[in-house]
Amino acid sequence: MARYLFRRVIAFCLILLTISLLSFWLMRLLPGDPIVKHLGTSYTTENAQAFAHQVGLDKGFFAQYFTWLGHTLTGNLGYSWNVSPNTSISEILSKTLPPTIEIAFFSQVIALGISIPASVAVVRRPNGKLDRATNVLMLSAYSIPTLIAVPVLTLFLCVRYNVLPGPSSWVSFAEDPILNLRVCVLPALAISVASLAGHFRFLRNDMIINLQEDFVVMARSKGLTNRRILWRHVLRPSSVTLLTSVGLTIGGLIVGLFVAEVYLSIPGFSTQVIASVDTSDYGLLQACIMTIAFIVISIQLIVNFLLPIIDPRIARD
Amino acid sequence: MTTVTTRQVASDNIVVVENLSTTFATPRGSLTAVNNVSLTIQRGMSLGIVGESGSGKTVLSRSIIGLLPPSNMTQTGSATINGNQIIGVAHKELLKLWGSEVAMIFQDPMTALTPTRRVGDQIAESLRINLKMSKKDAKAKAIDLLRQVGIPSPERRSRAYPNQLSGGMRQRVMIAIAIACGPEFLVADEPTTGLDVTVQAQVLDLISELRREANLTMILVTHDLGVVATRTDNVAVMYAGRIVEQAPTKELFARVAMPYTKGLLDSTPRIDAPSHTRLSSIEGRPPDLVNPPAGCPFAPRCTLAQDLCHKEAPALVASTLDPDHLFACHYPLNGHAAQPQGA
Repeated sequence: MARYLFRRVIAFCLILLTISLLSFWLMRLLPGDPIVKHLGTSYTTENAQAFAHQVGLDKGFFAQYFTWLGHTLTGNLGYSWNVSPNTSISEILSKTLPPTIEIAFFSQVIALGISIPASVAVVRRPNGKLDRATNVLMLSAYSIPTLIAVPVLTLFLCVRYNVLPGPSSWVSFAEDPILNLRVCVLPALAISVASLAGHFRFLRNDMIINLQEDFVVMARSKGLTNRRILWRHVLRPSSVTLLTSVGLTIGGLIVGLFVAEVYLSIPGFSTQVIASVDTSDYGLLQACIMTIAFIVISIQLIVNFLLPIIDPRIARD
Repeated sequence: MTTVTTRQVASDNIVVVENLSTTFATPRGSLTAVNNVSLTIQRGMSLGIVGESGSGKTVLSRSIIGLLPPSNMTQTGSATINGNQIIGVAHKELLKLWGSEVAMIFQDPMTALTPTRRVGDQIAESLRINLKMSKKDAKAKAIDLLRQVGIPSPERRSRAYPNQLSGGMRQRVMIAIAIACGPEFLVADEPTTGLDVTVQAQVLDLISELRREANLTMILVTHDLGVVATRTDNVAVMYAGRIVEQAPTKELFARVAMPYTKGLLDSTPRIDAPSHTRLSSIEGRPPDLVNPPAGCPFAPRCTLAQDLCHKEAPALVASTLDPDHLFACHYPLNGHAAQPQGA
């Protein structure tokens, strides 16, 4: 167990290091000069040189990289160039991450909350009417881009039926927990539709396969109801692909989150990511990329750790 | 007086199967896996069902307790356990029997135990559902049962997952689940096939012992004639979905009537044969059950088959040598002959 964890953590650090170097290099290929973008109309040669010297852009690539690495490892993420007035990057992250993580989390709660009971319901008669109808419904939902889902849901839930607060009503959980949760519902719902079909499909297929197993006949011969067999005996061994799929989905949510955040004026993390790309705000962008990498790899690590708990037949290598 | 006796004899039969057929709809056509089978089992007796793979022994044993999934399947005839009809009744009715009156042991304990639940919970679940025990009582009884089936340190083992136990122990757990609620009728489908020979004997001894204690009736499905010879009171030999020979175990091994059964016996290794003796085998393969041959289903592989065998299927009839010895053959061995009808 200790060896397993140790190896995982080493791999974790190596991946993060590789990503940091690659992204450090890649962002310097972004079109446009970050100094020009930063100075804008106040651009003069002296100003440019002064700014370059101040932030270290006049040094070589590796000198810049190792300076950044040293600072980051000691917990100093530096300052944003463009978010006024020289806010520290840690402060920006700590403000923008919570709404985004909250929405991403709820989107998965909704996706699982729908796909699990739906799978359990349809596998009683695979390829029956309910199964086919649900499949079509899930695929249709999957085909709706967030760009459409957000305004349509806003139109129905906020305007027509007025059950949810509309755009621009974001408050943090600390300020007003209830309003915060109510605001989260709409973007979470809009994003969940993209994950829904995948989760449903994986769980349904695995359940259908497991329903052929002897342990299902055994459970029947014990006098258990079909309902109990599905929930207590078939669901858990069928959740392995599902859990892996949830882990992989979360990393891909960022694009949908961006659309939802921009449309609903939620001061979130993905908005910040896109803004920092736009302005070539190297320090902030690098921190954002590392944050995403950290979250995605951590989730994989957690998923890998959870799989043997879900199904004891899976060994930890 | 006579009526009373008859009634007693009738009520002594815990399992009564009459003209049972089970047909599956397959993409190639309908497949009759169990073809017009009738049999009875007296309380406390054990019936061995033997046959090759695909002979219908598993389907028959599962049909008798109603355990086949209803999709793509049609059944005709009747099967009763303790007077409860099994064929064509609602799932709800069967649920009352399963676990409490009828239980089953499967071939492969690795795939027959739910891999994601602790074995103690799997035993306790049956107790809680069928006997409405409290959580605490069920847990204690589960540990008792594990001890009863000979699992060392049962308290610790009850918290193990199936994959953490050896094959023999898993089979013992499955037996514990089967006997948990005190069933009267047990179907054991190849209970020892996946186990080491030494463990096989232990598991069979355990089943015999538990049966003696509870006067448990059993169907033992197997392809191992050695197991049948020592563990059953009666034997039914199945071929192509039919019972082709049925007799008390001793009688069957003493005077085989069917060439197919003889073929099965001859293809069993014998301890008294010199080493490196080649095993004989039955040539050919079992018939395709979607397009069964006309006449006796075994005729194409039978060395003794004559014209009549290919034209007309023999009925299962009682022998003149022993009325309990039934066979389906036009040209039986060992001096058997069909009793005249109505005698």
